[in-house]
This record gives sequence, C-alpha cells and structure tokens, in this order.
Amino acid sequence: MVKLYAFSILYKNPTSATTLKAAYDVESFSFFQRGSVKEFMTFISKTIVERTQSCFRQSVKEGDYMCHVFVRADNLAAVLISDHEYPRRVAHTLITKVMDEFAAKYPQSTWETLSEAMTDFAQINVYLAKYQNPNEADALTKMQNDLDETKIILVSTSVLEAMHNTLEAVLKRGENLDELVSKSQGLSAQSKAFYKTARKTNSCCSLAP
Amino acid sequence: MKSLLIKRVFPYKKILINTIFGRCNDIDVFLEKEIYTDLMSSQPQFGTSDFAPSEFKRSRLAENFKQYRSISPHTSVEKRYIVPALKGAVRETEGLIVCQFVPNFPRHVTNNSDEVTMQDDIFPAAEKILSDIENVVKKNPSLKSFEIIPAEDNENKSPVFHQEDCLGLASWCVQPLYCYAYRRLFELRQNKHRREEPSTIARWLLGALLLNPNVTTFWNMRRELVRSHKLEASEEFFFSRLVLYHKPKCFEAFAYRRWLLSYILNSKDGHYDPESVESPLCRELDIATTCADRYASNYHAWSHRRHVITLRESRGFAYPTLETEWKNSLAWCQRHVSDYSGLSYRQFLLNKYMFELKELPRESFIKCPDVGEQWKEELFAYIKSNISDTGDMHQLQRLYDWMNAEFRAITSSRRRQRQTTYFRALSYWLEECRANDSAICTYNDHEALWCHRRFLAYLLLRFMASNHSYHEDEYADGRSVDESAERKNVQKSLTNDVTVCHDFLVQAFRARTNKIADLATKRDQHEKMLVERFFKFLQSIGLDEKNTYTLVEKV
Repeated sequence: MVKLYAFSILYKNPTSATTLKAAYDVESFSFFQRGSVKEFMTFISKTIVERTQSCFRQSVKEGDYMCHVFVRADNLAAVLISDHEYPRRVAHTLITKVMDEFAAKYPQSTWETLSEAMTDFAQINVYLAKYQNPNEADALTKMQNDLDETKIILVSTSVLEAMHNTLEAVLKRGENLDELVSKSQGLSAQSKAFYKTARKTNSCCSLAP
Repeated sequence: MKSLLIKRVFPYKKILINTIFGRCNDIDVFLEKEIYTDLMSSQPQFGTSDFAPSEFKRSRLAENFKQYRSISPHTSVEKRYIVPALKGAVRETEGLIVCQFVPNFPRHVTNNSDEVTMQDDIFPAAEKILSDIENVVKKNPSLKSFEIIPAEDNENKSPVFHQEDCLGLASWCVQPLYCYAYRRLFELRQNKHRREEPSTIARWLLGALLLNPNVTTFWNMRRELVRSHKLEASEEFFFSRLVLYHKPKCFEAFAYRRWLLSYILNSKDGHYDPESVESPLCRELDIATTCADRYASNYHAWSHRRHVITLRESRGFAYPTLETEWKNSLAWCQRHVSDYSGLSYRQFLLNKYMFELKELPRESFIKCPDVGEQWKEELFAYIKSNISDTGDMHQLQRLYDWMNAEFRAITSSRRRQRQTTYFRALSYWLEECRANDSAICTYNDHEALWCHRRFLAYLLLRFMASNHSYHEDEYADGRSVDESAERKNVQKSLTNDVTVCHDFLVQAFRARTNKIADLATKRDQHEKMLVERFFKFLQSIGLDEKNTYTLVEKV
C-alpha cells in the first residue's frame, strides 16, 4: 500500500522533543485502534527525533512502517510516517518543503515556547492528503519522459546514505522499545494494551486473536 | 473452560497429553486410575531426541511437574477437577502434545472448591454478551466493522462497544465466549433429538462465527437456518460483512456470501434490483475491495471478485459496469504497487475486455462518434512520443494520414464497428501499459510491476496475432466476383496497414521499455536483476531487438 500515516513537525530541545504541529491519516485502521495508533505515531516521532543528530536525514524502519526524519541544523525537525512502498525521495522532498514553509511562518525564536495547540499551520493536513498519491502531488516525480531525473534519484540516494535503519539501531545502547513504551507518559493504558497484543501477534497493528 | 485428557504416561515417564486445544487458561483434567498412580510414583524426566529443552527449561519443567503433583493428591480418580492451567510450551509430536505445566489459578476458582458442576456456570455472562452483540448487529444494518479490543480485565464493564457503525469486543471475553458458543453448538449438533429455538441457535452461531469464522460446520448450520426461512437471507449479508472485516481472508465467509448471492438471485421474491448501482453485485465488489485493502495478497478476495464479474456476465446485468470496474481496479493497483494479486486481476480483466467481450464496455462513450478516433489519436501519440529519436517519423506520419483518410472513408457501419473495436481493445492495453510505465518509474524495485510488464508484452503479441486473422475473416465472404477483386485490394492494404501499425507499436513498446530499464538498472542493484530477467522473457517470446518484426513495405 502506498500510504502516508502521519506527519509531524517537532522542535528538538537538548533533552527532549516537543511536537509543534502534527497531522494524521488513520482511516485505514479499524475504528477502536485509531486513537492508540495516533498516540503511537506521536510517541515514535518524538523518540526518533530525540535520537537523531542535527543536520541528519534518515529513514527508519519499524515493522510495517517507515519513519522518514530530518533534523535541521537549527533543531527544527520533521517526521513523516509512511509504509514501505512510499518513495523515499518524495517523502524527503515533502519534509524539506513543509519545514521551510513552517519556518517562514514561525521564526526560530518562537519555537521554544510554541505548543501544539497554539500553532496554526493547517497546510500540514493539506499536504498529507495531497501527497498520498506521490505521482500526482510531486512534479519532480514525473520522470516518465524525462531521463535527467535519474540523476536526482542517484544524488538523493547517495545523500541519504543512512537508509534501512531499523528502530532498534536508532535507539541508544541499552534502550529497548518495549521498555520505552511501558515507561512512556504519553501513552494511555489502552494503547499499551494494543502494543502488547500487537507484539504478541508479531505484526504491528493487526489484532488476530 | 477446556478439557484435557491425559491419556497415558509412557514408560520413559515423559508426560504426553492429548489435548484438543492449544494454549488455554484453565483446564479440567480427566485422570485415569493407572495414570494417576503412575503420575504419583514417577519421577519426571524431560527431553528426548526430538524434544530436548534447555537446562533452564528442564528445571522449570521439573518444578512445574512437582507443583502439579502437589495439587493432584487431593483429587480422587474418575472425577472432574480443576487443575491449574497448562500454559506455555506446547509442542506436538506424533499427534501427542507435550505440555509444560504452569500453575495459574483462575480468579473464580478457589483452592477448596475444585469441583465444577456445570460448564455453563463458569461463564454466566455469555448469553448476555451474545444478545448484546446480536442487538447491535440487528439494529444497525450499516455496521461496517468488527474488531477485538485488547483489555486484560473486565473492570465490570460490558465488553461490547458500539460507536459510529463500528462494533468492538473486549479481548478478555473472547475465549470464554467462544468456548461457550462452541460447546453449545456441538452439543446440539451431536444430539439430534435436542430441540432449540432457532433464534437461540442463530445467536450462538453469531458469537462463534464472529470470533472464529473458519468452522465450516457453523456456516452450514446457518445455511440450514436460511433455507428453512428462520433467518432472513438479506440480513445475512450484513453479518458476514462484519466477519470479513475482522478476518478478511476467510474463505468460508466468501463462500457463504456466494451461496447467499445465488440463493437470493434464484428466489423469485427477491427484493433486489439488479439494474441499479445498489445491486447486490456492486456491494460484493465493495467488500472485496475492503478485504483486499485489509490483507495483502488476499487471494480469496480477488477470486470472489472474479466470481462476481463472471456472474454479472452470465446473468446479463448492467451493473456494476465494466468501465467502473476497470477504473476502480486500476485505482486499487496504484495504491498497492507491490501486490501482484491486484495486477493479476487486471490481467483477467484485460483478457476479457480485449478478446472475449462481445458487448462494448465503453458503450456510454460510443454515442460520441469520435471516440474511435480519440483512441487512435492516443495510440499514435504514445507511439510518437516513444520512437521520436529512433524510428521513422516520416513513415509514421504517412501511416497516420492514411489511417485518418481510411477512417473517414468507411461508410459501412459494420466495418466502422470493427475498426472501433480494434482501437478500443488497444486502448485498454495502452492504458494499462502507461500505468505500468509510470509505476515502474515512481517506485523502486518491485518485482510485481516487472512481472506485469511481461504479461503486457505477451498480450501485445497475442493481440497482433489474433488481428491478422480477424481481418481476413472479414473479407472472406465476398459475394460477387467483380467485387471480390476490389475487396482483395482493400484487404491487402488493410492487412499491410495493420501490420505496419503493429510494427510501430512494438517499436514504441520496446523503446519505452529500454528507457525505463535504463532508469531502473541505474538506481537499484536488485532491480537490475529483475530487468535482466524481463529481457530474457522478451527474448523467449520473440519480442527482443534482434528479432525485429519484419517491416512490411508501405502501400
């Protein structure tokens, strides 16, 4: 499935990360899972940003999902969660573009005090919906008739050398996802139960009993 | 509650248990006298050649065995007793299951009251929960999903959740509820004299099938109820839809729906309208889409879809229209690029639309007189854009002009229709080919896309072969002698014309393939291999560079 699930813009403090704005598309999950899935995506986005150095792009694999992350030099960060089939290049193009727009609207000085409720940045929802179809959304991907585009792909893949990371590799030594989940304050008891069940059945969000 | 029968303790003192269930919480055990004594006197030894637990596991096993035995002395033989749960490593060897014993007392059983009188008392809430579920299902026909919500404790709340057309059941009651319904149904099934209210049976069936739809017996019991008019056939669709949401790959549920379809289509008093968009067949297609979305490579969903389309044809229904089906399946494939099951369904449609269909699926467009021309334009645009740097543009232009002239000159409606059919068939191929081109360009390294391209190459060859004979047929029935000479000329020109057109098409396809192959080999090592295999395939069907289609001299 070619799908984008969540897009969030975060600010990376020295110790933690705060979400400045986020958009979700969880329609494809079954109804009672949606709340937990959202919580999880927020949680994972934060976790990854906290563990990514600035000026670094990467695409991190977690189960059926791919988390594309970029932390800029000024510590503004964005995470796009998609599935494996979504073209990475388009994902990173989108991230860069939206971060630029966000920074244009809110100057760097405000980031530290900004909170998710205060931020007014509705475009993020529009982008999430529009980029569901990578072909139509991004003029850059239309390379059928234009072979010069190959260069862009090649360049971009060499830049994004740190691909195919798994979440385990991103976590710091001695950390493990199960523990992080059970310690987390941001996750409800319901979401933790979902997580446990999903781990047991060994697939991220399907709940075959 | 599950039963477990300890069959015997083997001489080598390994405990082998024949159980009808896998992992479970509480189990009542039937002890045979000799086993009991054997168990009491034996020393456990674990590990044989095929099942050798680690040292840690071995000590755990021994400990558990001890605990198990410490409870057993209170039990007298030939009576039913609650024994601590058997949980954990369960392994099957030659039909016997080796269990690791882990005591786990269920909350409602104290150590003293180990005697269990009736199975039903163990889960008294079962009937209540079942009727709750039934009420929701009956009251809300637009219910669209059923799922199990993980919850470890009941917290004295009802396990049935109903919100916005979605039904949920808390996971703690799944096991006891299913065991309850299962046991009741099999008691009923095995005892022919027993009578039970059909509504009660239906309720049990509802519970059992929602939780585990893979039991054909239960579906058959439901069929019996429908056939004896105890259940409304049309309502059965709602229910099985929930099942399919929960288990999108359940073959039994699909089979049941097919049976229901033929049942209501054959019954004379059916309240359905096959000529509307709301026809039962359209609904089936929706459900097949949902199931394919929820489970990748869902063979059963796609074969259900094929069945519905075939049924539509054999019954001569106008809906669902083939055009919408064509569009919807393409949209699905574009959302799931690596799922070959969807592409395989497209191949089924392509085969049908290009070769088999007598009716015109693009009927609505036929009214517009230029539609044949439009398809032709698109075809030429495709050829032109791809061979512009290598091919003979001059010749292509001549062919194009000639075809246009020919197109206008045709007056006989039969020939015009033939020509339209020809371009219509090619328009499907072209559309699919374009979709494939762009998918390969956008998405790296998907074998499914390259395999689909093989099919397209093969289809092009097949189409060209079938179209040579097709034109000859047309002119074979010459009526008078002097006309036939003239006809022969026309035939010759037309055959040549078609061959040249095919030749250009092959060139264009090949040029396009080379372009995207170039792109693919550069960007990914694995995809390079896929491309090489694809070219090997082209060679094997004779569509590669060396085997150039012989150019026929232009008229």
